Amino acid sequence: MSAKRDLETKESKQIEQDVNSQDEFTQLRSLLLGSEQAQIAKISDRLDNHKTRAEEISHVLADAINQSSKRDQQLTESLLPTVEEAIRISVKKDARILVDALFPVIGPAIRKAISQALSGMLQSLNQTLDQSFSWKGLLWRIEAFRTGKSFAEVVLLKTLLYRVEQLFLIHRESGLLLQHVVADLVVAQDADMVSAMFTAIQDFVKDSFGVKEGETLQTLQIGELNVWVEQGPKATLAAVIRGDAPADLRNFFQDAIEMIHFHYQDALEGFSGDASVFEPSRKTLEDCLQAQYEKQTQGKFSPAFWIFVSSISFLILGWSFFYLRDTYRWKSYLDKLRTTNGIVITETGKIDGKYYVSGLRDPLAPDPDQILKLSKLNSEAVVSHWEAYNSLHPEFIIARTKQILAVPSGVDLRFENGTLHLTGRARHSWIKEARKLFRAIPVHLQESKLIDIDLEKLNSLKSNIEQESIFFSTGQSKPLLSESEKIEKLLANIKVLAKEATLNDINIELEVLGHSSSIGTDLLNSRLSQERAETVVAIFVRRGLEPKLFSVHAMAAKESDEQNLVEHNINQRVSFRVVLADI
Amino acid sequence: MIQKKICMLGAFAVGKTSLVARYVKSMFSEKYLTTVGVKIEKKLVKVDNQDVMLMLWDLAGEDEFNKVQTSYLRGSSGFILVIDGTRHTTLDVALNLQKNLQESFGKLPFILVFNKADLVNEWEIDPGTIEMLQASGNIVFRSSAKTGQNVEEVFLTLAEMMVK
Repeated sequence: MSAKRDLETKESKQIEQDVNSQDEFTQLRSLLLGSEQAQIAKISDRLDNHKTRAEEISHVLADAINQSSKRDQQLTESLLPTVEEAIRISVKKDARILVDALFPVIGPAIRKAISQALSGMLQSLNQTLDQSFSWKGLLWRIEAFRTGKSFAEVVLLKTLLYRVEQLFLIHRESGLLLQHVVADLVVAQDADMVSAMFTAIQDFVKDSFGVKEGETLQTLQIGELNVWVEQGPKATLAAVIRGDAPADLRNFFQDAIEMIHFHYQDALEGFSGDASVFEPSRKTLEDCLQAQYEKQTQGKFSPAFWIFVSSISFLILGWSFFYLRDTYRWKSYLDKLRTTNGIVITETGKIDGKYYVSGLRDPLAPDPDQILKLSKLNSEAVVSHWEAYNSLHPEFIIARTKQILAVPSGVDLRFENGTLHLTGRARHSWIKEARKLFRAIPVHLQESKLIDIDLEKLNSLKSNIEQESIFFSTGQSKPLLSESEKIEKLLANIKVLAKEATLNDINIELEVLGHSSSIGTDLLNSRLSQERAETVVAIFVRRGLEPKLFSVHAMAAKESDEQNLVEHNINQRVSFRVVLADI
Repeated sequence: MIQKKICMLGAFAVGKTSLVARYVKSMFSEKYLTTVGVKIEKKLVKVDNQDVMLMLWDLAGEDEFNKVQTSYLRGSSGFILVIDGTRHTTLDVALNLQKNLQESFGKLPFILVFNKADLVNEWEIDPGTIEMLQASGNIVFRSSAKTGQNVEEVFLTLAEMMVK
């Protein structure tokens, strides 16, 4: 127990010694480092005291942010999530605060956006109206109908034919050129001068028309050239465009000018004439040198276009086929007419879209309408006019002669050396009538070889009759009994002769010649011959023949055509002589 | 190469356009002066072996500052105030313009050019006045667009003033 107490006492003394030495050390330290300690305490107090620190940082924060922003984007990027979150919470908590704050900015911004949208819409409308009544417009209307798009949409799509030829990046205040890019093959004027003059014109327009602050000239149009102007706070982008660019190209320029302002804010702010700092912006500007050429759209014709073109081509092809076919048929028809005897073409051509042919046509020539039918031409497409005429072609002379004379089957016609020869056999009545019509035939006629059938028959009968004689006994005026058969034969022949003669309108006269021998006196012989002839005539009349057919002649012994009979004194007979005569 | 915008100012018919015409070969028609009120020319000069492109805005002559299209003056790096030595009033106009310019655009380099030096016998402005202006720190030139006297020097001096 005492040991334990000793230990405790010892420890207590030790502690006391330590405390004493601690105080001494503290005193020493206080003597040596008192002021520094106070400063450290003060610094420690400042670091620990949020209120103090905040107050101190507030003095340097503005400068610090300013310097950091100038140096790089790090601070902006760091603050971005916080600011965004703060805005989000603020809007959620009370949107009116932000609305009130943004109100002065949103109004003009919306107005500007609407203004540009309307400007673009008007541009589209202008394009639509421009194309509304053109041939192209008609095709585009068909396409709009086919695709279900509005006509304005189709027009807008089809009119994207433009080229951004030049871009000027101009310092807004001084009008000095910051950068200039030109499309290939475009000849540009002095860009510095154009830039300055363009700025002057802008200023002139603004000053002249009293436009509001912030409003600027946005578009210039000269012929097919358009100058689109995009304004930034410090710089202006002027784009020279040939053709009709789509309205959304302006958005492209707006992005470009905003990007340039973002990247060159300081350079623009402090611009003092050195444009070399903007050299890297060329890439951005060159990206704006957009173009859309007609060549690009040529390969993109719609199916409707091709259907239309095909239809037109088919129609042209069809029309060409029918045209060529009809032309060929027309030519063939004319050739056929030209080679047809009895048809003479005097005029051909086209009248009111119809083929026209006129000329002369022999009535005996083939009918042109029949030839037309054979040519397969549409008869309604051909107008014909034919005047009648008589062709002197042998074919027609023969045909016409046949027609006029009603040539019977046994008669042949042959045209030779300008003379029409009639050959063959014909009835007497036809020959008689034909001769009356010979004058109507416009050529010389030769009919010597034409045989009269009826006359030939009559002549045969005549010959038969004239060859016969009826004999008498000496001094008798009655025929011998042996002559009866002969008389009957003569009677039959005379009857036929008389009948045929009557049928052919031929007059006949049968001269009955009485003969006698030379014995006796002439007076007696004459009387006897007279009686013999009268006896024969009486027999014929008694047998039915007309008395007027006969004439009696007393020949006695003279004037006998059979002198042999006279010399042998057997001339006691009656002979006959037939006389034929046309009525 | 750096670019500098210079505006030519002065009363009506003091010879601004003649000075510019003597200095550069014009690209635009003088009709611009009467229509738009400004004609722009450019001239490349060397200042300390550095190329400087001077864009010369020749403004239509006006006797009063408020008749000048001030938008044309914005962004200028220097001014040339032209005075017709034969007409004292043109000096007043120039000095008045200078005063207004300084008020509107701050202190920018400028040169007072007493033109028509070829007609010195007809001058209304006495040499003492000019010397007094020089003594008060103004850069002053006597020039003649007709003879070409000091024309190049005017522009070159202003270029140097603007660059340095």
